[in-house]
Amino acid sequence: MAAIASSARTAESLWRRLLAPTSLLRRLVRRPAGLLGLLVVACIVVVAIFAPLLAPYKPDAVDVVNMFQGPSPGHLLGTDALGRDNLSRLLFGTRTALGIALPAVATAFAVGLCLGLLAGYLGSWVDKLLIVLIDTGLAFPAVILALAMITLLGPSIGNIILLIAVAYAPYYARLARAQTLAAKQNPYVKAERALGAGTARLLAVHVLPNIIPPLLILIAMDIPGAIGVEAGLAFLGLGVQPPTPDWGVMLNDGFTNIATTSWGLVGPLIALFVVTTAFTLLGETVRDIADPRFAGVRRRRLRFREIGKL
Amino acid sequence: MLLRYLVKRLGMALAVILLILLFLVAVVDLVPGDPARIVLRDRATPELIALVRHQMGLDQPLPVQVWNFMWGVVHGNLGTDFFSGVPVATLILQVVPDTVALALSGVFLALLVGVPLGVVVARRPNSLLDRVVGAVSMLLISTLPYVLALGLLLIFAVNWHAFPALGAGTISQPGDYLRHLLLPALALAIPWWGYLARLVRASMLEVLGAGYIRTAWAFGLRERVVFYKYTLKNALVPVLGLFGMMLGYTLAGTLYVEIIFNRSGLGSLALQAISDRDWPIVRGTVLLYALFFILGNLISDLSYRFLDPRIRVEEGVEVPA
Repeated sequence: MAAIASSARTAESLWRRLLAPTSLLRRLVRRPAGLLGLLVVACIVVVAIFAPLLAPYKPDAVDVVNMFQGPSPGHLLGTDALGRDNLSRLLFGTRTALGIALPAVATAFAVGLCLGLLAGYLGSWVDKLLIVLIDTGLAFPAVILALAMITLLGPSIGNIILLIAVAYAPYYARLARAQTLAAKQNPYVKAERALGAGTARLLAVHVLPNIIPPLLILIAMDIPGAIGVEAGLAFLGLGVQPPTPDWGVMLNDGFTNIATTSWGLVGPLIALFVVTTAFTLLGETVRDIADPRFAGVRRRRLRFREIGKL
Repeated sequence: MLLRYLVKRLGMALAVILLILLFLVAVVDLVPGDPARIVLRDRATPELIALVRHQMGLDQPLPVQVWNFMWGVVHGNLGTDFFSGVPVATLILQVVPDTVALALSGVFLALLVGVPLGVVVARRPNSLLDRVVGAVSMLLISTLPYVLALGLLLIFAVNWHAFPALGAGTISQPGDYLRHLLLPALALAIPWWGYLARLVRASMLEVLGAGYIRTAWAFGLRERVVFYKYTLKNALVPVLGLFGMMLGYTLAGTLYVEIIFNRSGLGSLALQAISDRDWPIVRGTVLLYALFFILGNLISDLSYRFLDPRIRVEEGVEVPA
């Protein structure tokens, strides 16, 4: 109980630190790249929430007479093979993208954090076993893992979230483990243990608050990756299935009909480009600000997995 | 020390491969889907399912399945295609050269542009060019491979008709083959341009700050000599070490590119097998992708160790000594 109460206190002080003048948020806004990234990300979230108000049509309103239209005042991005409005589908697609990427990354974070914390703190055979598991997980790019899992499981939204979480969790576990190993060595942890504190209290009060910030940076970097995997799977036909409004599904439709019109591809391509760039800008700026502490734990392999995960 | 590292690293790779083999057998029991039922779809009757399960060896106890699969893999036997009865290994061997050729061309193009880009900006750090390349690098790194591939397809093949959009051509007509290869290889290479430019720039600047470079300047050596003979050589060590890993990631990336440019290869084979629900082929291709990836990482880790003796190894993670 004491551990829970004090971790609530820690959360409160974390929040206060977030709004302080020297906080990450304030420093982020002061950098042009960070501000731009933050604004675009905020816009995306707003679009996702208010999609029904912003979209000129319903995303599944079929109008076969007006199929494959180019851009016009009525349909700014044209219409698809069933005469549905591309812009409306694009706007609703933000919901699918965030609705899958956010829970997937959150799950990966939670699972990875627990595993890494345990392995790093307990050591011995638990740690060794976890290292082999992590390395196995890292040997599968997400898409390749998806080939196996989706064939057997079928592409439901729950399965896709699970799959992305499984693919990303090893990175969190690895970072959390390294961080825990480092935090464990701190004199105040040793002192607290000498005072008779239990494992739960040590982990919750002293280790956890110290290892979470670097993991949060990883989250910012992973959200565009998860959106990319989600849309990529849908593009291959292994992810969200039509008629769900989704950027990957739209890419698939547009690609199928590329000989007729290329307007179906333009919207989702730009949307994916803008979203991944904005999240990456945000993530990289946060990392640069936090770099003094983060530099030591950012391993070579973590750096370019953005490419490999896709 | 070096030998111990070598043994440890190889052992680790082997353990990971064993776990992947185990996973690819056990996953059938772990998840609700049954390959026999899936491949039969609505033709599934209990008798047929039992027959297919027997053909795929799924009716045996798990340890026996694991042993059979591993024994088969060691002997180059990945099972047989459910529909044609052709060995999966044969099907894979037919298309692997296409995939490897594509990945190698991608890596080649990546190095061809990325490294010189990094060298050029490192000569004048914080100049306008440096800033522009830095910003563009960020854009390139965050671009998704299939977005890039579709974009290239749209601009160069569909709108301008500058390059053929579909197929791989044949190797017997080298000019045509290369024309087919260029766009897909570019789609794989371009994200690396940004990454390599950053890496080489950082690495060059680090070496330029080293004591022996200052000594070289003090000896009055010409800029070209200092820059290209002494600095570049050492700055390229991280790039060489990266090569294996680039290959692994690029091979994984060929999946999208093969589909988008309608080329034959592992990715096309895997996707066709998935739409047929043909588990033996899916399993075989997944295994091969994973093996490529592990091999790439292994090459990278080992080459780092051999190229730069300053790197010490702690708990399987390289840290500069």
